[in-house]
Amino acid sequence: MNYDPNDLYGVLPALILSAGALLLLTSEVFLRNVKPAVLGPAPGPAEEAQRQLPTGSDAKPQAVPAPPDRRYQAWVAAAFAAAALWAALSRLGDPAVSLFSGAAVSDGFARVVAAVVCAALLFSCIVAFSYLESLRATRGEFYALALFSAAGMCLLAQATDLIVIFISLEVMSLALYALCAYLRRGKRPAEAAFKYFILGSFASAIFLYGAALAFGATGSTRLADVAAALRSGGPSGASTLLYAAVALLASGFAFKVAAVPFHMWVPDVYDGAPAPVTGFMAAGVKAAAFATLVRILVSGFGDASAGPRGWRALVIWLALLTMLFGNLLAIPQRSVKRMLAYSAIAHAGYLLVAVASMASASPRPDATQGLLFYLASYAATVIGAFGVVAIIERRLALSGAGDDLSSWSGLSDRHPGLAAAMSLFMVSLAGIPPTAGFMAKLTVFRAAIEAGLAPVAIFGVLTSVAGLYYYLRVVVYVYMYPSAKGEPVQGGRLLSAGLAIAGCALIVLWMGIQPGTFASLTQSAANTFGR
Amino acid sequence: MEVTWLHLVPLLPLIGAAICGLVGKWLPKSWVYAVALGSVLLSFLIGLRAFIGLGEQAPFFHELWFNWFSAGSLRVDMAFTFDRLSGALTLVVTGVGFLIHVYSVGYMEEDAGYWRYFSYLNLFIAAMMTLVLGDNLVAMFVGWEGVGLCSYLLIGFWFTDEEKAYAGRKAFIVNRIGDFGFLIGIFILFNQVGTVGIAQINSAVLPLGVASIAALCLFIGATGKSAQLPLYIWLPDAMAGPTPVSALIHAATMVTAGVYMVARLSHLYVSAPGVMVVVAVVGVLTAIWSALIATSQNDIKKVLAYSTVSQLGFMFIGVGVGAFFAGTMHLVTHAFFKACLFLGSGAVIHGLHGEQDIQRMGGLRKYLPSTRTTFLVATIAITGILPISGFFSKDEILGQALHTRAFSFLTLTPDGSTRLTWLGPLIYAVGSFSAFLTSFYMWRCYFLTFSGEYRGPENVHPHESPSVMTLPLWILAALSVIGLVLGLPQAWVHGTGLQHWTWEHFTEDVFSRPRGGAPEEFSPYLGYGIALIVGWAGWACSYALYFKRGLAGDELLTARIHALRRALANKLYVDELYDFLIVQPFWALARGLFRLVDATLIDGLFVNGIPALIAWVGAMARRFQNGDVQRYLAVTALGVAALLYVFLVRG
Amino acid sequence: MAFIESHLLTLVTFLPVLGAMLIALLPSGEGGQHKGIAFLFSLLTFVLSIALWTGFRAAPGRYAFEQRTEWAPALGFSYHVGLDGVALLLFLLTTFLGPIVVLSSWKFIQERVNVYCIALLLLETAILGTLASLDLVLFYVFWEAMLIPMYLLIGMWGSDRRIYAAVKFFLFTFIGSVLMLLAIFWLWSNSGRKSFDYADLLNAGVVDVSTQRWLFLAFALAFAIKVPIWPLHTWLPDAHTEAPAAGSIILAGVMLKMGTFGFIRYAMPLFPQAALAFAPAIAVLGVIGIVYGSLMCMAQTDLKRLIAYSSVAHLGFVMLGLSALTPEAVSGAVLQMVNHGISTGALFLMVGYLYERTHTRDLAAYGGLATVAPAIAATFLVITLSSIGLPGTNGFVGEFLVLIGTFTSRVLAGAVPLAVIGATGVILGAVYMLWLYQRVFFGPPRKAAGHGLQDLTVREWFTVAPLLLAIVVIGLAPQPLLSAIKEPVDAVVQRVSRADRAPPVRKAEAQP
Repeated sequence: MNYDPNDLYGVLPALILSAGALLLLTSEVFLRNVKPAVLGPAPGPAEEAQRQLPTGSDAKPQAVPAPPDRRYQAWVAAAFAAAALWAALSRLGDPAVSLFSGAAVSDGFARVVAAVVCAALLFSCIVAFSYLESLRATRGEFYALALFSAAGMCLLAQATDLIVIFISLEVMSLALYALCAYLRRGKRPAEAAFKYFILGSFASAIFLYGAALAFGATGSTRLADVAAALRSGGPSGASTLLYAAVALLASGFAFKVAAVPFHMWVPDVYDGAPAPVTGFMAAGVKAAAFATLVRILVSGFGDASAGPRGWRALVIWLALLTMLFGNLLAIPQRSVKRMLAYSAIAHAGYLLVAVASMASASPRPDATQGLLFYLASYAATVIGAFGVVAIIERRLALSGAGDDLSSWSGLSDRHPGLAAAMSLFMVSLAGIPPTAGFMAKLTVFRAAIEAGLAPVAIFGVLTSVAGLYYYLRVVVYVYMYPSAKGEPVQGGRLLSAGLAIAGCALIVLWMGIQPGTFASLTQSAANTFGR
Repeated sequence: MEVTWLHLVPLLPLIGAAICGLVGKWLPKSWVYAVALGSVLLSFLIGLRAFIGLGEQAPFFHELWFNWFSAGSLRVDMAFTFDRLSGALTLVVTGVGFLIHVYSVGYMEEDAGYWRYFSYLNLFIAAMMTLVLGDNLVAMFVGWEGVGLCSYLLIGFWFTDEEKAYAGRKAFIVNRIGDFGFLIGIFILFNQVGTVGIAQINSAVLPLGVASIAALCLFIGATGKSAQLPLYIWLPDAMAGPTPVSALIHAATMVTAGVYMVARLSHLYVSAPGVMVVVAVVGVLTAIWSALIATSQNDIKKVLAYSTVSQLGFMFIGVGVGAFFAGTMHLVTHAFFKACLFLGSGAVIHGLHGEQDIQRMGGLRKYLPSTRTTFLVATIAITGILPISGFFSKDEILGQALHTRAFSFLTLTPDGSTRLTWLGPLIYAVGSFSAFLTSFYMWRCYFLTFSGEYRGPENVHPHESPSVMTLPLWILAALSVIGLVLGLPQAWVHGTGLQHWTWEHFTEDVFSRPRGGAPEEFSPYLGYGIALIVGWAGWACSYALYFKRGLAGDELLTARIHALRRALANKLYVDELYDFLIVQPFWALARGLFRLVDATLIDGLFVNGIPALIAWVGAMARRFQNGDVQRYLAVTALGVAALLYVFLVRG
Repeated sequence: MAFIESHLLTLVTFLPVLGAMLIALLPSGEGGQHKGIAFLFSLLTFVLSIALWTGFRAAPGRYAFEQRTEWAPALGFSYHVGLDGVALLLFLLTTFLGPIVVLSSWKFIQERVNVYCIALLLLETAILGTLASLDLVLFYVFWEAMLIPMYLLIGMWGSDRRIYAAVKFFLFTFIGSVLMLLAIFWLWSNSGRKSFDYADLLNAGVVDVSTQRWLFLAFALAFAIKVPIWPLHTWLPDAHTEAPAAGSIILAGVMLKMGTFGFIRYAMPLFPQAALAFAPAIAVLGVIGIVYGSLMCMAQTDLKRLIAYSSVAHLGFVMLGLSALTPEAVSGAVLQMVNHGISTGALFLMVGYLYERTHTRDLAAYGGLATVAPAIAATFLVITLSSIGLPGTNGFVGEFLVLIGTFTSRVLAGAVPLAVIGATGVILGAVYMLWLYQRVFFGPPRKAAGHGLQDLTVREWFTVAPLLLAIVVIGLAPQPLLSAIKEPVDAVVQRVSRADRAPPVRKAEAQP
């Protein structure tokens, strides 16, 4: 098939990210390598720390032969992420252009999603830098993989062809599977990655099946053709096929966005993966997956939204289930990481409300705006939160304690800054002003009301009250319980993580107090939603 | 006539109270006295000047001081009216009040809290004057509650004693029950008349029903403030306060506020004859009830307290039968002799270093001569064995009750066959009997206190009080005598200069006449005769019993009517009854509601129950998440299947 | 100068935040300078707010010190603030209590002072903003911004069961507000102009009565929990009991009024017909609050709990007055809001001082304090009298207006019995308050009166004296306040009591 090379500009963010990944990989060649025997399936620093300092306090063991200095990689990755972010933002206002003869599109919607992904990547890299360094676990692949998955996400947001969607989906996912298992310490990371892989492939299969059905019904994998076929009505049997296709495609992405009942993998994976990766997953995957879901449902099956068999009802049911169980399951969690995992499920529910209120052939601008705003604010919040978790978790990893709320008690005495930031993120996740979370809630739920989904909205806010409970519990431990054990986190290389967290906190506050700028940005993006 | 100085009458004592209360602690004693006494004296003089100024061209003075608050159609002013009634009351309150201030200088000599005391006393005068002069019900209510507060503070003046503190609280709360009625009365009248001004209310023509309800509610207030059945219980306990306070607040002035209020609103009450009956009946019942109890009390102040309650009953008989002038006249004379009695008892207590039990007194005439003399005069006045003030005013009431027409047109049956005309005579009879009892117990009190031999402990040496205390006694005794002028029958003084000073004539254009019209002219002589006989009879009985025997008299009585006397000595168990029927159940209800509704139902079931339920469900659901990939796969597959089912088969 | 003129309200509102920022910049540690700054800024806020009082001109249908600037046009809301008489009074009450609160906790709060001061100041701004805002999103933002600082105040410096109380407080109030948020969205999508501006929504109105009822309920729930109206009150005793004195003062002094203010500013005017329809129900709940709250007081053995329940009773009066819909009753209710803020705030202040000295809230431990600490006894007496509504104190005017206004209400069904039952609160109030007073101050000195209990210090005098002054001044000359609130009160009474006759007409249907 023939296409205009200029189309490559349309996917510039993805290109930049992939280029960065390749650069990092090649750079590995020129590094003097230490024998795998020494590093090998590394006994984690935790054990080493134990061996040297039975007190388990946070000292820096000197024993292992120093691996080559790979710190530059983080900054290279960050630089490329920044470049991609710029690329995404620079052409934000431009009208939507169809690329590669309809296989992809470059519109405001995709650009905002790409921007969110790149920003997420940028901050995650900065957090990961100090995280990995302090664990002395920096190895070459990490940032490359992160860049690859980010590239996949950017493409996902743009893809308008089921095949392209599938390819970018796999690009994103495979890189993430690897990242989850990145810290080869204990069995949990590996187990998490394994589960993620198995279930992920299952979901991809379902998606493929849906794509096949869609192709069978319409003779094309282009969403535009699918939409055309739908509009022209087509043979009645075909319509049944199409409805089946919707259900399957939706399930495939319901898995990626962690909607109940496709959420089972989330807690284990989020828990097992390194905190920075978890943050990146929570922010990036959600953004990309939701973008794609919207693409498929709205620009592909927009006309199949209404009615008892339309996907509107489907999404609503998913939303209700997700909001309910996400919050219910989060309540008993005592591990902050797992709690955040379930809260990620809950938030997927709220995002699904936005998707449901977009249900029509032409997406409602206010709903699209809500979705984008929500994705952005959630990304900022959750990356910050996992940044804090990363610092705490790292310390725990060294001191050998498990991740339990009790280890957060009295944080405000030891690290006022961290405590304040974490509380801010919790408040934002709970959707209380003046934070990004509240404005996100506002944009989504008012769109729902506008779309006549008042009952869903009521259900949503009530579950959010339940959510408040476990978010507040973190604040309780951070501020109201006396300090448990007061060894401070070593400064030094954690500085960068602190910077990233501060950045996220600022964004959260900025979006909460001065939402106008970002709102108008998302608005224009929503108005240039390409089909 | 509009004036601009009337507000000084309540304002000056108020300022005095403020000074004594805020800085009195640090001022030299003499200054406190100067401020406290001076302020009252000044307002007395202002009152006097105004009183003299009253005349044909100025039937009353009125001042609109300032608009207190107004919202919607309600406008409440701080405005005062000084007519013949409120004027006379002003003189009584400030005058007697001043005397009692003087007396208190001696009485509270040793007490460290004297500055507090005088501040309260001044505050009381201010509040009482607001009550008396206020030209609208709300202003009146301000004074009404203000005097209640002062009474609370002064009863509980020695607050380290739980009993006294409790007595103060009891007084305030019982009064509040009355005030509740007063408030409702105000609401009704405002709702009907559209204003709270007393003049407008008196001139308004109200439907019988509304007038009755309003009058009744206000009368509830009166029963609280003036210690009538069933709300009289606080007054005997109120004797816990310093004796001058008992004299001023709980005998002379505050407790008569109810009578004054009814008289103020005479037109309202006249337009509600049914309520007049209630007032009169409550009055006579209270009179007899507390007179009975008084016969068996041994605390000299308790005796006087119950006698006060009974005398207030007489006043209510007066206003109840439509003889407002008679009731208010007794109010004035009673203020004189009862204040004298109380101050006398105070002198006795002071002289005996706090002894209040008449069983440990006796023979004090030779130790406290002037106290004894004045007490004797006042006793004569209240018992009416000689025609001086008390005799005339009380007999006026009874005579009016006998000849009243206020009830004559009230029928019990629709056909009007059975009229209430018998009620007046009945009241007269019962009233006369309680007059007899009054004479009896007052003389008992007198004999046991002053005659016979001293029964107190040896170490206590009774002594006469300083002149600063006896002087007021003499003045009050004199007033109790002179007070007779007010009650002289018209026939005697017709055409003489005294005519203008008889109370009936003096206040005739203030009060309304009962519907039945004034009672037919009746010659007072028969009534006087009976009254004298009754009075002397009471004297004779108690003389026979107590003059020689002393305490043995009580034993003699007890031997005869044992049960009755015990019941009377225990105040007929009314306090116990109320406690059992109302107070305890109420607190029990409060505790029960708290445990049941708040703690168990709302908090236990809903507020804590629902979250617990949610958490439980969450924990259950969590069990399912056991990290088993097969299970995860199964769930995912089932999810897809369910979707397909819903959207293909069923949809 | 002109700039100050036009931005005065904003300036006063956000001055505390400035202080908070300053404190945040200072190094933590010895808290003296933190408290100093907090006091300075709260005092400055009060001083500036006096200019609001002097410069206030009541104009029908308009707001004083109105200011409107773009905030987030893309989201359809703007920064729009202004004051009417009612808001002004509560505004001043808040700024008035501000410095008192800071001073009151000078000695008691010793650890994490900087967080404490920041929380206090942020809370003040949140409350002021709630009162000042004329845009519903702005209102909601401030409304919920109140929660976090209060949550921290209770949870960090409270006593034993502080965390339970804090979470209970937060969840309770949050449940109510989220539904209100949805109702606000409904109004937004219903108003033709897709605006959150109060005036626009007021003009747009809600034609369909049944919808009105639902929306009214959503608003009412949020406010009813804050007030609190029986049976949604149980968070209050816990919050009050566990909170530090300062927290209780703010909570009782102003935060509860946010609920009643919400009724008179939003719930009633926005949904007049619904308000009219629900008035009897609310009035009944108010009366229940009066009687039930008083009974609860009699059942308490904990000093602060008792006073907390007395708030339930007092705010019962306010709700009764608001639902009576006569100018007398409503202005009485508004006045009662202020009075309750002053007297109950003062009560909690004094109780806080007692607790600082005795470290117990158990009534049984108290007794005979009047002999040890006469000044405390005297001030407490005045406050008690104001709280039981004795004439001459501020309490009387409010209660009297409420009751007489209710009694004469032609709009409210069953007004007379409601007023009569409500009036029993006058008796009950005396019962429990005097019981409390005797228990604490009279009788022979008991345990708590021991260990050389100190009378009021100079600093404490500075906190108490203004309150006593306010009690007396408002009691003797309430008219300025009443005339300040006359206009908005009449407006709301007009709008609601006539609602059944003239349904609101919807303007500006044109969709952009």
